[in-house]
Amino acid sequence: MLELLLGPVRIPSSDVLQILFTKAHLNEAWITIVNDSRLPRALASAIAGVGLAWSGWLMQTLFRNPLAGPSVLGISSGASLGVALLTLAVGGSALSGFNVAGSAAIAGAAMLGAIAVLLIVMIVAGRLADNTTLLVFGIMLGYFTSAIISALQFKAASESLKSFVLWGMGSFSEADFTDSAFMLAAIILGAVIILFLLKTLNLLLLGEEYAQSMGVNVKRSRLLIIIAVGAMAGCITAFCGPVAFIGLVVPHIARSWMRTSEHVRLFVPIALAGMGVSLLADLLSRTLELPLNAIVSALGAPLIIYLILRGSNSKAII
Amino acid sequence: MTSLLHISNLSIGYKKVLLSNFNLEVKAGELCAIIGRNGTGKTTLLKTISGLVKQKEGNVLIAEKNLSTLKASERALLVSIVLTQRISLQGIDVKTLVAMGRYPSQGRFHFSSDSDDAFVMQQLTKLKIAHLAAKPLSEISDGEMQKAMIARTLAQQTPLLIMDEPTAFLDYVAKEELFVTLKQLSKDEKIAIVFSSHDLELVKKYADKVVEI
Repeated sequence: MLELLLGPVRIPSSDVLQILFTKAHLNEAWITIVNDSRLPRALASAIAGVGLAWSGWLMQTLFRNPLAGPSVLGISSGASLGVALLTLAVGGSALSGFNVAGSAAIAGAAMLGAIAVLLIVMIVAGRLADNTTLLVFGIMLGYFTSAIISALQFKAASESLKSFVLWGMGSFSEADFTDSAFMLAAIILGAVIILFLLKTLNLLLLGEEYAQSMGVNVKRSRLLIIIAVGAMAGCITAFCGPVAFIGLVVPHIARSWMRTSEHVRLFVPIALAGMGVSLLADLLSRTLELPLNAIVSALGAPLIIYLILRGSNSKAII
Repeated sequence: MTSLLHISNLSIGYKKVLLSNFNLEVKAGELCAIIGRNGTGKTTLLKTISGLVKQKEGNVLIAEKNLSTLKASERALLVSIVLTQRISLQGIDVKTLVAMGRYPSQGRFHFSSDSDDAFVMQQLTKLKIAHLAAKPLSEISDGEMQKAMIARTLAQQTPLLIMDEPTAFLDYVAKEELFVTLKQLSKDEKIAIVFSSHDLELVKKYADKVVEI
């Protein structure tokens, strides 16, 4: 709600409500600000927050690693590479996404990139016994994709370069209603998969062998999780840029809030916490006039360090 | 009485063959110990019997069904397993762990019913860990963890239970206690239990059958 009320132009709260619900107001400029700037932005941050949080949650369960998340294991980088290939190599101002076809193309490229990286991480994860090694691998894979992106940028026209760099800082402000509709569709797909797998996810926390011994079709579950994460994280990255830390941090907030790791009881809390954290981060980014990723990284990084320190004392996975 | 577990001409291993031409018969209610030095393939054998690792040759029959022709969901109704690695989860309590054993016998969406809940509590009571029901797994002792894991397999209601070195991390008292528990369960529940162990004295004292590989 604060998202709608606060901004560089002061608009009294009663007037905001009037604009939202009656769609009429004496001040034309205020209508434009609320309807065309603040509302889509709030909507995009809320939807993206839910999707990122769910993605991070699924990845932490899949890899049985509390430090997994779309931005950590190179998923966002994979999505970025997809978008970079599309916008920088193919050229054009597709990033501004004025039409539905443009939005769909970007979303598709990002999802493919995300799923490709996820599959690579997945294959390697099967060979690595150690969670920390997997994490290092994910980070290296992130660097590798970033290297390709840099190479593409170096060759690119300055015009498309600037929009790509801005996009890379992460922002909920560029997403319009069409983009939000795409993100919403991806999240609904993710939600359906999560709901279908709720009980199975608990079993996966014990490890794949135990899950299999209790009748879980591990390969199918893994594939469904990859599709869900790829769709959600990929689509969100396409329209909001590679947003750091939200997917990693929110599941932890929800787990300590609910005092459980049981998936059935975390589905809604993670969505709510994701929405809240994301709206708050966007609000800070607007009021402090700093890029979104600067905010989430400044807040998220210390929390991760805390998690690592705590993790070295107890052997608990999640 | 025909045997519950019937293994014939089994050869196991990953790339290299670890063990070949292995035969074994275990009846319901029998406690069978597998002994042998490290690296002889005890863990691989147990994982093969439970269907987690594919056999290279031969057959494993459980209750006259050929293991290699079954899906994971069908296997889960015949054989349950307790592995050696320690599971430490902060946000999962003992009761939730044991309730996971109901998974294979629930429907597609795995909703738990009241009877599931009562059944889970019964298994906790059977292993004398009902008072730990609400404790997170990260806060219980190794001996309690083994009992919780066994309760989970009982909740799974399989005629065959496989355990890989169940006493590995336990002190001497807890080791003997676990052997007594296993012996009693095999008789009371009429299940076959196949486990690996390095505790030869206890194996001699409690196991109905000892196989060296």
